[in-house]
Amino acid sequence: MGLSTINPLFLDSTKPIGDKVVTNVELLGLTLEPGDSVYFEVSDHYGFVQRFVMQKIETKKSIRFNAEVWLKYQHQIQYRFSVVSEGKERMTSASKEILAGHVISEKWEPCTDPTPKIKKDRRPQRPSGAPPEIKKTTGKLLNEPGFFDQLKALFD
Amino acid sequence: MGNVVSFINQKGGVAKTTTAINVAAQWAKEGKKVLLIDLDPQSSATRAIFGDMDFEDTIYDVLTSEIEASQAVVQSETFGFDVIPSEIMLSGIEIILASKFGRESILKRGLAEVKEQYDIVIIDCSPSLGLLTVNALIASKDIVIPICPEYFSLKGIDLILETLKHIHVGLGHKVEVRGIIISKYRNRRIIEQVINDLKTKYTIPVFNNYIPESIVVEEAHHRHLPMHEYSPKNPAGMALANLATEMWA
Repeated sequence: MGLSTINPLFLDSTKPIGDKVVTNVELLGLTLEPGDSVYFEVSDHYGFVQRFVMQKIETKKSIRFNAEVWLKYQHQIQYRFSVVSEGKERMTSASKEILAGHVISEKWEPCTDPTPKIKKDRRPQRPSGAPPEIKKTTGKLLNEPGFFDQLKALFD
Repeated sequence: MGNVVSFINQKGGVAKTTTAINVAAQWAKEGKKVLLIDLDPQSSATRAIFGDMDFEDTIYDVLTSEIEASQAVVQSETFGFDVIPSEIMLSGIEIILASKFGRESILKRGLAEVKEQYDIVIIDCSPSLGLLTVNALIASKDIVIPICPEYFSLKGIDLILETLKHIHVGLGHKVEVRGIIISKYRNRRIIEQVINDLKTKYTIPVFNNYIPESIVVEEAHHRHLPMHEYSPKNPAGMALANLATEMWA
């Protein structure tokens, strides 16, 4: 589910946007080596990052990892899962952006990007003292093929 | 006690009401205490059971909190189960409910007490996705999806599953799919194709009793009788009875 506007039918009318909710986070399809832990890493739009260790829940048919985290309802968040071994990150999933809801349920998919860290929101920096650049396109137009023919067609 | 199951498909004409009322009738015949809620503003289930009878208290009044659900319950001696009927006013209810706090769970709260008096509650939904259907899903433990194989489209199933996912994430309520009902079939070969497509793409079970298309079903509707009474030996009637047994297991 992407960041695009959610259908209001699926908005919890008992929760004002920004109200804190307990979000159940579930990760399926992951097998850990002995000594490994899996973490849920989440950041809000201010760039504040939180990390939660996930608990293993094993049933007869499946193994899943769970965490309960407090998030702000319908606020933009970025999250990913990471497998840690002896204090070092061994594998990680790709970062995803969503609007926070009651549930995050994912199937484990390790990311091949070597540096899939959660990005902080940054504004583009302009060099100080430099005037804004005015783009000139007229010179280029004169060199465009067919430009004179188009001008001529306007006057015919 | 008090399990709630919704019959849902956003596509109309797939025999949702027919299967809902006949499955309910079969369960009632087998001694189960059944409540059927007609959540369709077109009142298809209400008309099929009661004909042109008008009711003062309907599901509309329950949803607008004018009355308790138990006050709207009407018994059908012919079908053997209880009904909360619908009415055309239901078509305008979404505007009334839209601004209400907890608008998505009004039906669930309304049924909280009355459902404990029944073994099962069936909700016959309208063929649309709106606040009424969302209320049905929030009130339900699981759903069944009748489909018509001749006009089958995987997109319809995708839409329903997408809706369930949105409800899980946005509203925190998980609804299971009990299974898919194949109804109004004419060609056995098409069913095999449809089942193949379903098995390839989904893990949703398909009930083994398929309901053939039959004009006798329409006749039963016009006579306001369940199939097990109107034409028990008709193949569609027998399939509906067997489907009910299969669904209860």
